[in-house]
Amino acid sequence: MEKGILIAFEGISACGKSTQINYISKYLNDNEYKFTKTSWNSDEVISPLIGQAKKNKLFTPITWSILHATDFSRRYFEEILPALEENRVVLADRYYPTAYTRDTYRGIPANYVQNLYSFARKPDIIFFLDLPPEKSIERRLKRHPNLYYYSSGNDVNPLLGLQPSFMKYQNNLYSNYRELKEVCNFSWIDATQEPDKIYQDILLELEPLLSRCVKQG
Amino acid sequence: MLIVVEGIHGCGKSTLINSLVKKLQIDGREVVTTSWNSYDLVHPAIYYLRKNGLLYNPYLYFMMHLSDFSFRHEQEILPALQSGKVVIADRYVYTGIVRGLVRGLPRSFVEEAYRFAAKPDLTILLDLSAEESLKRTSPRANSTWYIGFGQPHASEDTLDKDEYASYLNVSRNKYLEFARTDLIINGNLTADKIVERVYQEMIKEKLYANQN
Repeated sequence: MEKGILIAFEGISACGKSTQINYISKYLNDNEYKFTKTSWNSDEVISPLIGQAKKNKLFTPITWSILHATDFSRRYFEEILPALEENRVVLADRYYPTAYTRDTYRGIPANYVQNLYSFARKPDIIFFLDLPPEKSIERRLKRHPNLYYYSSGNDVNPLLGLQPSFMKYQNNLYSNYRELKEVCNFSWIDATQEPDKIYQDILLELEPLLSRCVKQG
Repeated sequence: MLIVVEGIHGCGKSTLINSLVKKLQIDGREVVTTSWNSYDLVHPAIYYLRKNGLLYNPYLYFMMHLSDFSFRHEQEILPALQSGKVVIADRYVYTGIVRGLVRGLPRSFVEEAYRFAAKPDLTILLDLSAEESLKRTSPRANSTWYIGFGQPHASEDTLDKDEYASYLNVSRNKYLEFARTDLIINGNLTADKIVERVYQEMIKEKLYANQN
């Protein structure tokens, strides 16, 4: 049996991933499970390069795809794998489905993206927080009115304004996620519910998996 | 026009490229060269990881070089080709693939990862034995970091000569395997002979047609 538990959270912008990851972190802490958190595009060496490439608009679809996979590979071998080896719980705020949805939107063939991430262990469970794009867009704009070039998918539709481009991007990512539902075996969570109810839904599926992880002390 | 020069350390790539650049420039062509692991944004990170012993993992090693290559491909190689320049690449996809393979990565993984690369008009492999390479150069610990399943080598002092020779040998054989349908030139020939051989091939392949 594989060591540790790998739990991934997926969903479009502002669907509630961070809130739920915080809840689950608290739960794991309270129940004395050892755990590690890792977020998309956060490696200390590669993430600044991604920032630079965004700022200087250097990305084309293929470099976008490869540099994000490189960030992931760093985190995978430096954070995720060592934590799993110690039988920890790993909470991943986004995992390879994020790359599948975003890179294919930019025209990279799905096979190509799958190959780039082929070294990565399949998560024990992937929660997909299903919030319809209209709701997530509204929530995102209310929370952070500023939109950015790449995170609005404006590189794909340079003739659109940032906001129409963002809406198109989120809608497309959402349909890409729906298409991955079976392939990635998503645990589909209704994210239109109150945060507490979402948390209960997640916990219901999570608790049986936790038995093989080590507790603190 | 895209010309690629491949081969193990010390095989004569730079010498050949310098001659080619001069000759093509005399012929009135605009020439751009691009070297392995040289993109401004990426190569300092590769250097940093290597220096700190963080490039031990074959996948990570592979991904970092793939990143560097992909940016040069998009930002340097393609734009130059589109504006009608000659691009000469000091190492290209075979290097990325071979270095992944000798570190034990699956063939399908490494080949697929480089599939996006523009197809060269001419790939030249300068073939040299490991023994000859060792006579011409000193082992470079930094180019052979983490050989196969061995240990990382902190410096040239801790690099085992035999291990390095076997790394070169395995690499050489892989290059030969990939370059089967390309122009393979014996790296023991004189520099002039090598350039002459390349020019014959370019004329034969009509890569010169627009000059004459």
